[in-house]
Amino acid sequence: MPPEKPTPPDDSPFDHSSIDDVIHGRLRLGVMGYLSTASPALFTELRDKVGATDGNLAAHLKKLEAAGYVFVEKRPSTGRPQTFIHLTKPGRAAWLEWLHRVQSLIEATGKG
Amino acid sequence: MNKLEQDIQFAARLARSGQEAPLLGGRMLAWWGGMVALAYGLHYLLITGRLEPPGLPLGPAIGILWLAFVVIASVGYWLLIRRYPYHQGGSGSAANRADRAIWGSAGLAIGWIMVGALVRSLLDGRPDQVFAWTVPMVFAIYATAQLAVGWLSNSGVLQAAGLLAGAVAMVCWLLAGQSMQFVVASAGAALTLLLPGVLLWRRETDPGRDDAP
Repeated sequence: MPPEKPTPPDDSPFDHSSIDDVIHGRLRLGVMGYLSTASPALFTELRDKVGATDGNLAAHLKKLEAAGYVFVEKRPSTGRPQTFIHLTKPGRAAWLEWLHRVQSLIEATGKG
Repeated sequence: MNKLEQDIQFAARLARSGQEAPLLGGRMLAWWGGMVALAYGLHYLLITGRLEPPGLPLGPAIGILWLAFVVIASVGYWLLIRRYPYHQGGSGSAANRADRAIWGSAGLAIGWIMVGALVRSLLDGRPDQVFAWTVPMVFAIYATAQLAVGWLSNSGVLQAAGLLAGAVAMVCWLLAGQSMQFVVASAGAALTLLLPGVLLWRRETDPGRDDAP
């Protein structure tokens, strides 16, 4: 039986379980951070920015896409088709919410 | 520094790199600037008699010049769009999206002015006068577009080009109807479109180059 998620004490100003697990991860954070200011981005551009392999980035993008935070578009090109990654409206909202939650965490830690 | 702080710094660094991505429209700006400067220069040579195409009266010669301009400039632009440098990165940045939207709108506005001028000149039978009015209007649109993109992207080069284009628009109103208007317009296109376009193009491949004073 998996261990139960610890619940915060009543006087805790922060509930860490409210942090979005889909975003919370170094590579997915990097993807969301970059797309928050440069969307759409080419798959290769994103790969180079976050320093991931093709397979690794594709796996993380699938998770973000499944959550509805990004969508993948393939555009025909003169050579190989180009793959663009777009940040969606729910993705931007989730990113801003994540920033807000983390800011709360940092403030709570600072107070503690 | 804990892991969360490191991850946040990583994401913030990437967000900044997207925000500060170089503008990617330099080659388009340079292409249109070069074509417009050449067309105004040839227009001046034709109306002053310095260039006389054999067996071709002035009116049709000017018509052919501008028709050739529209065809060649549009085909070249289409080819450049197909080779838009997405691979440079940052094509989705706010400044690059604004650059494409603003210049797309500016191109439409110039097109509407030119179509209106063409219809008016056909009705009036005075193509020279109507065409002269379009020059300052077109430069005012260049000024608006360059200033808007320059402010959004913090590019001093584009802001300066926008102010200069505004000055060229004013001078061209003063010179409307005189052949010298086209010399000013040709030089103005070279300085306000071609030159900043080349500078932006160079900066694409060398983002460390600081062309913004």
